[in-house]
Amino acid sequence: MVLMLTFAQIDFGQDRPVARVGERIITHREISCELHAPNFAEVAAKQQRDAAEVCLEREQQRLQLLAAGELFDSAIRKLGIEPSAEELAKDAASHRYDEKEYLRLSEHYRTLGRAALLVLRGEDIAAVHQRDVRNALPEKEFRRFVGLFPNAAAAESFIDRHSPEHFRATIAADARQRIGKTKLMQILSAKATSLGVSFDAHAETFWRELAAELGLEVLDQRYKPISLKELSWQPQTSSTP
Amino acid sequence: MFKRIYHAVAVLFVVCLFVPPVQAYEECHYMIVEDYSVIAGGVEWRHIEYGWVCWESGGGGNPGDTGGGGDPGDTTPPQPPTPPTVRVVSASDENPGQVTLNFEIGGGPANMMILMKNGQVVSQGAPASHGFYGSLDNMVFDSILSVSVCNAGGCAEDYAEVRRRTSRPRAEGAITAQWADLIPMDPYSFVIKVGYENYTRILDGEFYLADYSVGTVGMRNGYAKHVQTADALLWENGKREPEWEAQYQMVPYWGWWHVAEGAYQTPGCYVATNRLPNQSALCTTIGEFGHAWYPGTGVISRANAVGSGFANPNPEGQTSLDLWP
Repeated sequence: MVLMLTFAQIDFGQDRPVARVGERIITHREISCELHAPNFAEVAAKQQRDAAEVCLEREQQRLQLLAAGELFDSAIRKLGIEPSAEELAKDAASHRYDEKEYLRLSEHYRTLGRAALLVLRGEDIAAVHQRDVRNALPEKEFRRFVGLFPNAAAAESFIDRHSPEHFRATIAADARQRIGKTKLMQILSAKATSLGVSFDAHAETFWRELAAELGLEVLDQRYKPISLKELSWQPQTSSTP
Repeated sequence: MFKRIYHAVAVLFVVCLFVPPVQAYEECHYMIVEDYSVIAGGVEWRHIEYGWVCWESGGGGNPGDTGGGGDPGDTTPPQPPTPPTVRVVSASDENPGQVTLNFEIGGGPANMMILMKNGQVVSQGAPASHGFYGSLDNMVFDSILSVSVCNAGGCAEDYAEVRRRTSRPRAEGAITAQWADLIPMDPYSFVIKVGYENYTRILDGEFYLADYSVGTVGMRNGYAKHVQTADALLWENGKREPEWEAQYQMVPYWGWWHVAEGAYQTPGCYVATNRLPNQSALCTTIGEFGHAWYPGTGVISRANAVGSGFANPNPEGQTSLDLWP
């Protein structure tokens, strides 16, 4: 009861499917504005709009982001695009991530997890924030973070999962996708040139064929279809991944 | 176009106050003796020349009248004094709220000085070695600042031009921002995924500059007014949008420390470019005169690529971009 008064538990919502990209089912939990855009009500108030409308807009954006990620991964696999070691090293240098950064990220999130665990075991959330994590997160954000855990076991699981290896893997996956996207655009551009068609026309054809091949559908009719036009950009010589 | 007309009218006004003592038998007036226009280069220049014109007054008659009383033995008109000379030697905008011209006055002793801006009298009074013309903010276009000095023998004038122009410098760079996503796991737990996104950055500024047709003295505090800025992150399709905060810092002429103004999304706030299809722009309207030798700086205080989970808000790259007037 005390905990309920000190922080709001996040409602993860019903885990219903909203879209399918190939075999990947994107569920509502993955896009819900309560979880992924918790400031939607503030934004709505500031813009003098209906909160439900802003929420739906944010969920649509996140759905587009997740579906696009799946399509990019499929395209990269299909064309056999593989970043070179040199490209990965260059990416790490430009974004300044290395073993120290993996360790720092791990410590950062584990510290937050440990602080959440203390709250879930009964300590006062304001006191824990002030003592342990005031430099890591504003109190409002910390309250939101704690609210993500249904119980202490979930917080313990969070601490276990966020090892340096976890961050090495997730950052490497992101780097491969970013570099892969840039190379994909270069391939599409070269192909468009060789076919004598515009980049936009060729890219649209490519994505339409891939989507048909994979199976791309929005299962929840509240959401608009995934836009294929927002997936491509004409590569520039100076473009970075 | 009519700046000389303005001068002439004002000089006539002042000179009317200094009509030499009227003789009982003869009347002298300082008045227009020549008046014609010349059109050169599409500009009309009106030439107005004043001179002393005397006639026998005869107790209120017209010029040329010979009747009336008085001393018929004294027919010599009074000799007017040597007219003064004046030259604008320098300008100062050390205080941009009070532009100053410095003068060199010679010739006969002057007893009246008139300062005018674009033909409008700014002030008049006793001659001095300098004159105040008001704020640069009230000289939004090129302006003519003139000085006239007079005595009973005539007037002299000189002027300086204030030239205003706009400078729109642009600085460019790139930043990388982290994103973090909450990935729900079964049944009610989650993990954080982290990645990065790159953005092109363009910072546009608008400065309003002041130059003078004469040399300047003192600090050039009025040289550059930082008017407004637009700071934008631009990205290709398929990337995450940025969520960021920025401010514009500059050193005002009245201090030796930075002042900062937060940059915000406002209607019409954008950077003109067609290089990339997406942009997020934050603008300021700082409106402050700055030290001439310090740039204005657009500073990103935090930036993330949009995500749902507590990313590091400190971007890497060109988080500070300088703009020089």
